[in-house]
Amino acid sequence: MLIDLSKCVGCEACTVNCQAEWQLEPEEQFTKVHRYETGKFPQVKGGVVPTQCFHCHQPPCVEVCPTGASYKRPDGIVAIDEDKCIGCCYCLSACPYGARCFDSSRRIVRKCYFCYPRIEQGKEPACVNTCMAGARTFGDVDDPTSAISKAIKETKAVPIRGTSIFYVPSPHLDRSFLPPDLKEPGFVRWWKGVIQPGGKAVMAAAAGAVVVSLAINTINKGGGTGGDADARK
Amino acid sequence: MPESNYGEERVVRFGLASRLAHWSNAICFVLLLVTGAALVFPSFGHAVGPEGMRAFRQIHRVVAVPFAFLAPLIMILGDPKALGNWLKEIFSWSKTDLEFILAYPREFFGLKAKLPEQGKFNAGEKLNSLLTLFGCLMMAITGFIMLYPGRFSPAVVGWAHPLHSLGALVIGGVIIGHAYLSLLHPHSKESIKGMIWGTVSARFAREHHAKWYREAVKLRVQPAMRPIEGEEIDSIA
Ligand code: SF4
Ligand code: SF4
Repeated sequence: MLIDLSKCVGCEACTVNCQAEWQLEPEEQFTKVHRYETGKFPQVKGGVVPTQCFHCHQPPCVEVCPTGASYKRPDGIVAIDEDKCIGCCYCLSACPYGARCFDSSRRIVRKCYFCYPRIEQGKEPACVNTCMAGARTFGDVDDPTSAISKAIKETKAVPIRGTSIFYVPSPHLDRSFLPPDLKEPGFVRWWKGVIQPGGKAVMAAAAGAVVVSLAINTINKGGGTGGDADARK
Repeated sequence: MPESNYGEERVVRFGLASRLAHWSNAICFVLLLVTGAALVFPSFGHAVGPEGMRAFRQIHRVVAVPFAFLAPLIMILGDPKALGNWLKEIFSWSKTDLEFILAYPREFFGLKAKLPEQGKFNAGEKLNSLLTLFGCLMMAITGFIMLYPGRFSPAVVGWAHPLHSLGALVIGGVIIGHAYLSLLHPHSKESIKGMIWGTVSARFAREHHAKWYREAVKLRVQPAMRPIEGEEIDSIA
């Protein structure tokens, strides 16, 4: 998705229409519009930056999900199988963009799905459809002939690396106001790469030692030496 | 005193409060380990399914409360003296403790081993106690953070998850060894009786906890110092 901040007027129609589309509680927002001000009075400039799930290429949220509820579809959309989600919220803390929200009535986690049910029907995502400023473009960036690919080229849009989102920076805000490139949080790396394999190894080693000890002790007993320490060879 | 007198005799090792606290901790921990393991072992999680895992989550949250508070409460209210002695023992380490730890693997695997004399808790039991004590503390703290993520910064919540799962796996390993030694290992399985009935055989006490046993005998032979029925005997090291 391409979001053109030079066109976005910050009306939050996307936020509201998305909430209607996905029947969200008022406090749940799949896409948010952030407001910034820079400069010193009287030269204050303001700008808006809408964000949502960035549909990361290697999503940390999928990495930590213990149930497989969070997954990446073959088309690149990061989705949640809401029947599988148990609301453990691991993904919530793993997402560097704060894109996920907890549905307190259903006790599961939800987020922007790029409206894949609509896309499958050949429609645009609800936020794209409703944006009267035409700030949002959705499409296949891997296809060089698609409208979004052309628009990215034309506008010299900035890719948020590691994700599926491009921004045209706002004329009022410099690039530092754009969300950062994807960086997997350190604890996710440690968790999945070191801590869990290590912990499992400790547990397996303990279980293995018990089995070996049990075997040796049973054999020794079978040999008729009895259970007394001093009677051992 | 002729040794045969003690052949079938029993020595009080754990008072009622210690045993209750031990078992409340044990039962809670096993429940938490089983309900939490579904998140760590995908095949187990798959086997119980999402409904099962949601139920696990509920159980996990409920059991967390007695896990964190019941055992300490029982000890503080029920037998603060035994609690103090236990804490004092598990934090005092000497060279013989190290020798014991180094020699113990042979004993564990049923080989001939020369183990130095031990007090009421041998060095392995002290290590187990320390790991349990600090492990449980860490689990309670990280668990609390996970229960109220809104009160902490995202980085703190983020680190709480992996630490919680590391703690669970490490203590899980410790518990496997602990349960095996007390229930099945031919040399030490007498110790489970101490945790169930409160007493161990005099022979076990003499062979495994010689230092403590001598103190216990001293208390017995001097009627004035005879312990009240059921009261824990602590070595006066
Ligand atoms: S932005 Fe967050 S929720 Fe979306 S894919 Fe990336 S990590 Fe997952
Ligand atoms: S809250 Fe749901 S989607 Fe998120 S990690 Fe847990 S099971 Fe996966």
